[in-house]
Amino acid sequence: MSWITVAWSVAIGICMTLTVIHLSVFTERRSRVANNAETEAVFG
Amino acid sequence: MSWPTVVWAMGASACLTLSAIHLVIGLRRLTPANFLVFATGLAVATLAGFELVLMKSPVPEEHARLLRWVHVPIAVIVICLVLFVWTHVWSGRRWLGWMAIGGRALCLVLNFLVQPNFNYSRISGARPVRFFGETIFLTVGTVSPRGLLGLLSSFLLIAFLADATRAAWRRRERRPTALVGASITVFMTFVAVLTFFTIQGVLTLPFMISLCYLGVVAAMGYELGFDVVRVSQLGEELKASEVARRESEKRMSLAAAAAGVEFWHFDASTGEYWISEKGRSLRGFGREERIDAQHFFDSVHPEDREPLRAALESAIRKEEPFEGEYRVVGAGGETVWVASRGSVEAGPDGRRQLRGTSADVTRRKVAELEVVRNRLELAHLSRVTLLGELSGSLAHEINQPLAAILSNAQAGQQLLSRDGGNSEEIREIFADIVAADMRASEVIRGLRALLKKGEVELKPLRISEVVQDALDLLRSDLLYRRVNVFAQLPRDLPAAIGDRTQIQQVVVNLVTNACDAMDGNEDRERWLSVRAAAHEGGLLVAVGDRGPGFSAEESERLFDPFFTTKPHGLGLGLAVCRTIVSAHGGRLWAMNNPAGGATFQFTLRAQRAANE
Repeated sequence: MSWITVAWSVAIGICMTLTVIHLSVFTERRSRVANNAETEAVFG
Repeated sequence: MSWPTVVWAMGASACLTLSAIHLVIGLRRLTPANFLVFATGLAVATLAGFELVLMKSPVPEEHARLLRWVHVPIAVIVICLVLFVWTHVWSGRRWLGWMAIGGRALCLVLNFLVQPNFNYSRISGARPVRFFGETIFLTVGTVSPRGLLGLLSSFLLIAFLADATRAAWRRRERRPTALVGASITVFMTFVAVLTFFTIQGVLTLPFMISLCYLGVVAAMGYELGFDVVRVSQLGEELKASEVARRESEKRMSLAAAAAGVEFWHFDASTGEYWISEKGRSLRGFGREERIDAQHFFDSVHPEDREPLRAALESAIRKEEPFEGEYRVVGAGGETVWVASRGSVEAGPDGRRQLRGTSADVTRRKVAELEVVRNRLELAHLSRVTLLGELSGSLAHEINQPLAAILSNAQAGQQLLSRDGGNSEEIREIFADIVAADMRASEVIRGLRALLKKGEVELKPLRISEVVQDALDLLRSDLLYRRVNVFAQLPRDLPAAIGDRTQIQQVVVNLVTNACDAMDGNEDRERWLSVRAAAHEGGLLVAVGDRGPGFSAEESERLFDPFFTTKPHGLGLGLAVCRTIVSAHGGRLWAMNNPAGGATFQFTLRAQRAANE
């Protein structure tokens, strides 16, 4: 098992999770532009 | 790149992220549901780690050991799920939940009592297979029939979840929650079926329980996240509403300051007052100072405290609007007149509250008091003038008893000097002296009362007595002018409300005017009619004469100041009379009689009507 693969996968997993959370919050509250910006930041 | 490693590591990290988020929320809000999601996420992440190690390991002993420990996070997940449904969804049959927990606990206990683990009777090896381009190892061995017990326990949990979802769906407000419950039920069914067929060797796949549970954790997190978002939204709405309220308050304060108005609010249940800034600064209260009833009434002028307290209590008790004027002792000791009005309302909790506005009316009040003072001055001057006009007859009225006293005293002296006097005759003489003296005293008392200059005292009074006293005072004048008086003064009339001196002044004035009007008449045509009667809930006094009456043009100006038909009159008498009667809440008017002459009449409020 490659620990590098694990570490990067974990990082990607965390970012994806946060992205999904903030995307759903943004969808819920369209006025919160800040969430949208955070989503963009996560995706680079 | 190893795709299984990537996928399982991402799944575990997603669960850990959700766990961490809900741990933070749970610590802030202290809600059990968030802690349960945290525990479930942690358990799923552990499970993912076990699965990843299991698929990478070619050693059968390690498979046996890992498959044994896998039951611990699964048991944690089942317990957390049941508790989550109970604490958050508030539905689900208790006994089903306990059965699901009990079934899983039994599996866990058996798992640690048997060898090599709960699912296998024997593990003989690890079979390499290709999975997503990578070699992984699957467990090879004899599957134990105990697996059916595990399946049963899984279906108990699914039944519990389905039942809770159905109950939530029936409660309309919980429908979003029911959808999440349905998702969890589907995930759990998928886990149970997939695991069973994987163990049985029907599917050539690694254990993927954690990936299915990831969906469960996500669904739980979504359900709670929705609440968090809602709370946050409400918080922002509250903040916006608070800003709007402050803005509105500021605008109101500006408007109130411009209009010279203060707002106040009294909570009947707590006895606390709230007064806007202007009112607070007037009374010397601090901006944030708590104002209780005692504190509030301390700021009211001592003479107005009890009447104000009674008026407020009455308004609250009867749920009627409140209106009143009272004096406030300002912070610097100055007296400020305040006009206040308010209405009773039910507060948000149903308690009665009085809310209203007050305005500083000191300038108006001072002007009003000045008007009253001037009116009193004028009335007094008018009385003095009137008595001046009557001075001749009044002197005669006093002279008569004085002359009687003198002659009685002289007769007594003669009796005593002649023969020592007959005691019976002396007694009669003294009785005459006393009677004459009382008569003179009565006249002087009446004069003093009319000449008195003082405050108006509105008291219950017998109107017939007041009119009779006025006639008694004018008796000599009436005799001198040869006026026949026809008086109808019933004794059983209701009490009127008024100031005795001022009402007597009005009667004297009207009678004098009537006599003046009849100066040119023949003796037999000098009839004065004075009548008192009940009238429309109040009292009426009418003074009629047989004079020439008045023309239509004169009738319009009769009560105007400085209008007179007398050669030497000032024209103030009737104007003052009308002012006095109006101040008593009555009306003074005049009309020509059909048979000639005029009648002046005025009304007064009866005591009962005034009280009502």
